[in-house]
Amino acid sequence: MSTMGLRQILRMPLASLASFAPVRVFLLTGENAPVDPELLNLRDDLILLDSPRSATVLLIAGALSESLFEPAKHIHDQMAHPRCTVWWVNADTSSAENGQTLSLVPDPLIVSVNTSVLPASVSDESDDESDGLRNTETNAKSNANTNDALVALVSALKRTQYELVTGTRASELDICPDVDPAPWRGVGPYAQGGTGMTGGVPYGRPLTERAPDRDSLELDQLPLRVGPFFHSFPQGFVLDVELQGDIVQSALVSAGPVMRLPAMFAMALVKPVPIVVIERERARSHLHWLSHALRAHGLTSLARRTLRLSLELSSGHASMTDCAGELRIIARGVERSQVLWWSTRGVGVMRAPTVVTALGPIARASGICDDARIDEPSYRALGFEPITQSVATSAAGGDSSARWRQRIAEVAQSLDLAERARGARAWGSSVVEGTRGRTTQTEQPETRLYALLPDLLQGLEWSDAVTAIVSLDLGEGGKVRRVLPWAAKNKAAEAPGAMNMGQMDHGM
Amino acid sequence: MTSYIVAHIFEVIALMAAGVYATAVLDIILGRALTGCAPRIGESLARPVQGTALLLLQHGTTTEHPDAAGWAFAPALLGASSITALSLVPFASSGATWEVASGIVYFGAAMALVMVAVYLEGWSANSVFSLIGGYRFVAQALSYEMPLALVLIAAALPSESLAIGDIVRSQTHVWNVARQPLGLPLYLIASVGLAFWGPLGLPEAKDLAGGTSAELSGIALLLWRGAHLSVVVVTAAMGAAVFLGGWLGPWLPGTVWVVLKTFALIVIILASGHTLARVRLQWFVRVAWTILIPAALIDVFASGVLVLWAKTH
Repeated sequence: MSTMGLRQILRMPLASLASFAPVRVFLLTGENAPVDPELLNLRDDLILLDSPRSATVLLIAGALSESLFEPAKHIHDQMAHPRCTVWWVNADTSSAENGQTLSLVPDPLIVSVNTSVLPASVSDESDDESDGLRNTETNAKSNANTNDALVALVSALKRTQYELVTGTRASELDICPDVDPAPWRGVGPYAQGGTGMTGGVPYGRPLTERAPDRDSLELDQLPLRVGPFFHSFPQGFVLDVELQGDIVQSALVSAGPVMRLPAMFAMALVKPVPIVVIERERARSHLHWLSHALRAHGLTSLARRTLRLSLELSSGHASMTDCAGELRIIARGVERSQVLWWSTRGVGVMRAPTVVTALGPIARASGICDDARIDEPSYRALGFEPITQSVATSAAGGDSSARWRQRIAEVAQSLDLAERARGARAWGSSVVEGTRGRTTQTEQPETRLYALLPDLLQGLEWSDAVTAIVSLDLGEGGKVRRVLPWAAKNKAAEAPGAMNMGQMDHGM
Repeated sequence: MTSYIVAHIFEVIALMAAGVYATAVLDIILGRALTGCAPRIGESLARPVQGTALLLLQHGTTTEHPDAAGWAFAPALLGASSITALSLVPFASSGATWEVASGIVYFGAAMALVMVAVYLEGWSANSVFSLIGGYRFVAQALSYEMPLALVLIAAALPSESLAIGDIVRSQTHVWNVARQPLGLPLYLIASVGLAFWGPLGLPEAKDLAGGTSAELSGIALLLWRGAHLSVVVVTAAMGAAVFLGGWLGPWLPGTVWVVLKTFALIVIILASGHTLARVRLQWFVRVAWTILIPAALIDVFASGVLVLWAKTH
């Protein structure tokens, strides 16, 4: 009996079992996702996959930009049948933004979330508040709504998987035409003819070229495009690399995610904002990165714990003291992971003068004392001193491990500042110290790093290249927290900061 | 005779299937416990069955011009190597399913095929990340195989036999874990490498989006996952026999002791996947050749000296 026949006979008993299985999801993060998609990692009833092949559900969180649309189609077609697309949409997003995403497949399942009840980084009303307390209360109330939104999504995903396996929902057809991407170009009855030693050009592609490697051996060169949906990188980030074995011979950033300024930092560029809100967001952002980085290094249990703390911090449920206590446990876990330090020490070293281009925690991890908070009187009143890592004491200073230590130390510092700040406010100037360095209305620090990557990655093994990129914290992968009316009004001003690396001079 | 052989083959396959299922359940329970969540035994018992049903219903996918034969053969080779190796493990004093005088050599030969299977899986997919996963495993295998072979030789020295049953019997008074203190730790490190699990799961790492299994779906993925877990089971079972005295132990039947000791080692291997970060391959190769292999050689020499000393006194 054929496999197909056997599958038909066993379909119903298998389907009834499979309907309770965790949903196999491949996630595409677009703009204006209703809730941070990373939070899905806290759910046991779904599995976020690194490869789309074995996913049953393609989950699109937010709206896909034009540049992500074609890659999304290819991702969709790589999935095995039965498959379905679920679009997790922000009800506030305009129909024009949503239109193209909706047209990806004929009939996507839409899970709409009203984000007006979800936690924002800083509420609209906080403009007029004397401190961040009201904002905290708003977030505390709406944390339950975040959970509700996640539960509603997971419920929809489970229902979809059930319908797919039981056959009550038809599997989606391919979107891209079924044509050979590179047809054979040889001539003759066996396509053996053509030019060159091997006759025709196989499948329309040139044969892999050889070049000397670092050991002076001749090795094949493998050209590879990684992204824009590679889960170790921010969504939208595309890296073109040429590999020999797994050594990066050359690297080029050909696209970067569109970055938007978190709401409270956008507001701080206009008027003073409570320090407690700024520092809580800084701690949350660093913890969010730490959770992602831990997962990238295989420490999933610790990553979940870190993500939970990040969620607690943004919700305002836990006190700063409780958060600091939990942070100490996490930091101890990271510090004790000797294998992690062996994996990050000496990888992706950035030192002066190169690192001067980078700002914020990356520069401070390389021993450069660059922090806009030093110039802010309210921070000085709190006795703020920037934390920097010493490069003199270690041959590997300014490397990935230094960046890990720097951010963990800065989380503790931010929690301490938030606890002591009370009603103090900061900024209202043209430059603020964002989570990744000095930020203005037109320039965000992440964008400066792309130009440094080709030199940084050249000669590294692929795993080290990923370690180095992860340690740089290039963004939260298209996650955009709720944009304030102020930010929406100033969209034109934001545009220059939005990255389109396709138009950037890489200096190579 | 044929029916006897067939019955024994089915017996080993059934044992392996039970081991693989139990290992999958244990991994879920450990993962939950180490995250600070309640283990939920019932749910953990059901998860592997539900996941299997889902993958059985999922269709296969293909890449552009894969080596279809190699791709289909790789999981079969991996699973068959593990099942062959498991047949050599004695589950009671009556002996193993397949009693051979040079059992430890057969075990080494079967486990050497793991490298072939993993590389074949990575190469056949005709996909860059899968291929790099295959490359990585070859580099990894060249680093763990020497210590693995050396500690197994050291474990065989006191018994003066290559039969695994004899190695277990030689531990009647003192288990190898006590008289060869370097043996079990080195064996476990090599086993984690052999089973490409947790910190040494480099061929299937996240930075390769799943590497050797990145292009798999449906039944192909199910078979590969099953074969992968079978390597964990067999390395633990052999470790229990060679270092923890196999069936030897008070009060309980010998088979129960083998199962308990095997699962103790499985828990250690699985826990490494939840508690240790991914190792840098370059670092592992360096450590293997500068620390693990010399330590394994010391283990062999020390064991040899002890055997000679015992003979002369």
